[in-house]
Parts: sequence; C-alpha cells; structure tokens
Amino acid sequence: MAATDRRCAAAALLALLSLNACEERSAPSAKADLPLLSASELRDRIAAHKGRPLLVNFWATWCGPCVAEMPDLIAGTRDFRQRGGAVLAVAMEFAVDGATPESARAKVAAKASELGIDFPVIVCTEGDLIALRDALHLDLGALPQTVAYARDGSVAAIHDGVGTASEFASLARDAER
Amino acid sequence: MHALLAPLSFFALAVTAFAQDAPQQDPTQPPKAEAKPAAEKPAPKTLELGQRVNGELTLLDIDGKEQKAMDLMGKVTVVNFYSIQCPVQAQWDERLAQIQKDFAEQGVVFLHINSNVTEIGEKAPEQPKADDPEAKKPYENVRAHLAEKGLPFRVLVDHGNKVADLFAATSTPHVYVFGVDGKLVYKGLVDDDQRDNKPDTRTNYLRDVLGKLTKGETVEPSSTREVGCSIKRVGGNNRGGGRRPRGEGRRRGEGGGQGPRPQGGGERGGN
Repeated sequence: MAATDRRCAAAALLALLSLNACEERSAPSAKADLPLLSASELRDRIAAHKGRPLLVNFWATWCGPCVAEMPDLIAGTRDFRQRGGAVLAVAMEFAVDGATPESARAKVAAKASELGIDFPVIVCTEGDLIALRDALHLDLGALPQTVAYARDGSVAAIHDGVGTASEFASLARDAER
Repeated sequence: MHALLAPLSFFALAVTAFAQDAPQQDPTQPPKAEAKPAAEKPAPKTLELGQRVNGELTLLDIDGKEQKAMDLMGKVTVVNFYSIQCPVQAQWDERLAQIQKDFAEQGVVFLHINSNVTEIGEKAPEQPKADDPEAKKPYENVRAHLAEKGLPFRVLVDHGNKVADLFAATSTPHVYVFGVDGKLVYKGLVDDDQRDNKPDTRTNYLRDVLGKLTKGETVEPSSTREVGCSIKRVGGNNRGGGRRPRGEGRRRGEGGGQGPRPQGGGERGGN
C-alpha cells in the first residue's frame, strides 16, 4: 500500500475510533449524565440529529418488557452506531406516579449501568404519553416503542412493542435508507 | 329487532369468519380469453371497526365461570385489555370503574381481559373443586389486586393471547366498544387525560360513545391511538405490534399539535 493510502486509511480509522469514543462518553455513567428534558426539549434534541440516521427508543425502568429488550437494542444497533448512526434511549419515568427528578435519575442511571447501555439516555419529564405524542407528532402507543428517523428528519419506520436484535438492526437500516 | 338478528358473537377464533368469497364465474358463459384471475383480497386477520364478528368464543373468568359471547347479544359491551401490573392502566382504573358503575343501570357490560402471560401464565390452572373449600383459588395475584384497589372488574383470562391477537390489542388499557348489533364502534383510549389532570376539559371518548349508544343514537365508528404498557404476549409475540413502514409516522422538528382526534374508519398502524 502506498504511503498516501496508508495515511488515508489511518486517518479514517482514527475518525471512526473517535466517533465511537464520543458515543461511549455519551453513555450514562452518573446521575449528572442524564439530562431531564421536557417534551419540547426532547423534540428539539431529536431535531438536532437531522443529517444522521437516528433510532429513538421509548422505554422506562418500570416497564418490564422495555428493560427486557434493552440487551437486544444494544446488540442490534452496535453495527449501526459504528456506521455513524445514533441511538437515544428516552426513559419515560414520569409517566407513572411518584417520580421526582432525583428518583428518576437514580433509577435510570442504575438500570442503564446494569444493562450496559452504551448510548445516550434521556429522562423525559413529560408524564402524559398522549401529550408527548402530540408534542413529537409521533404515533406513540404502548411502551416500548422504537422510532427510526431518516437523515432528512422524516420518520422512516416505527417498531411497536418488544424488538429483537435482528429487528432493531433492520429498523436501523430503515433509518439509513 | 333482536329476534331478527342472526346469532351473533363478539369474539371469534377462526379467521375465516372474516374471509370474502372470490367472484363466481357464470357457468353459461365461456371464459374470457384475456380474463385474469380476480385478485384475491386477503382476509383481514383482525377485527376491524364496523365489523360484526361471527363465530363463537368462550372465555373463563378468574373464578372459572364461562362468559359466552352469545350471551352478550343485544347488549352494549365494553372490552378492556387489562393489566394488574401496568401503572398506566392503574391511572385509568378509577375512571373506568366509575364509567362502569354509571352505565350499569343501562345494562352496559364491562369485561376486562387479561392477556398478559406474565400475570396469568401460559396455561389455565386447574380450578379448585367445589367440594374442597380449603383449596387455593387460582389467579391469586389478580384477586388480590382487585381487592386491594376495590375494583369491581370482572376479569376474563386470555391464555395464549388469542383474543388480544384477534383484536390486535396492543396495550393496557385498550378499550373496545360494541353496539347492540354486535358491531365494533369504537376502540382506543378511555379519555385523553392519562394523568387525570384536566377533569373539566378532557375528551371522554368512552363515556361519550356509551352515552350515545345507550340512547339509541347512531355512532360513527371511530378510534383513537391507545397508550399504555405493551401486552405481554406468549413468547414475546409482537402480533398487534411490530414494524410499521415509512409513511405512517411524522416528521421530526415540527411544532406541537392539537391532541388526538378520533380516527374514523379503519385501523391505524399494525403490520
């Protein structure tokens, strides 16, 4: 391989490693890493990803199936994330009674650590799923639910209910089309 | 009027209950040389708005008592897919109980169906024998929950989530309303106020449709998008859920909307 080609390959590899490192640094490791976002702030956060394929997973620590599918979401999107795709896990902790900012952060941080979530996690402060659906203009229904956004910002596909790693990988490809 | 109705059931096991016949060839006419076989419309797999379900289904309640669909003929019936573990269901429990109470005198039947394998198990347990008063009653978790909350819900058990699949029910709660003619007239939310924060301004979808039906008014079939917890199906089966392709979602970055509106006509989403 010519020296120029080796330098280009090295630069590409370095860029790829840097991207992955950014994703790893975004993974929640403490309460401070977990932003609390309102519905409108979440909408803006999602919009800020325009230009990049994105999966948004709506889950909650109180939702058994949501927790159960998380390993599959992690595994099923690993290649997607390495290709430059983004995943956001939005924890709907306030949809149930009794949540406070402190308790929500603590529960989500603990569960995210336990599950080994290695992509950004957000706690949504909107407690009304119908209001959230309205704010995001999404056809949200029962948790868990995963939404694939294409680069142009449009919704490419929605996966209702529990997903497998294979289904999440397929959903990621929808976002990349 | 009811005597003229063919025996009706609100539930069906066989998907052939929905199948449509292919067009019949006139035997006196030679087949057209260029005629192509009529495209066979696939039989719908789930209950649709405006449909009357033929067939029979018997579900048991937690006491082992049968509920036959035939016995619901001529009655306004509400079916709610229910969970004892779902906190979103819990947020609507009292309102559902109140609506149930308010419409009891008009003979509206409420049935709460538990299709969650995590709550009722995969197979029906044996019911205790009548002559064994010491025997433990099954579904103790459901009984305890109803007793603790003081909920007057009759819970039917849907092992294998067959009825949930038939209805394409996705969440708890998820209500379905049938008119006296057996047709599905509404499905979706109880109201648009999950957190019970706006009692004076909420849209009471369920109460409103029951009010009309019990007055004998015509109700245009409609639906709203349910919210809640996924029904825990056997094997994690996502029937009633799964992937919905491009075109059925919305664009990110847009401003706030105006809240859910009843959707007339057919089913939204699903795969």
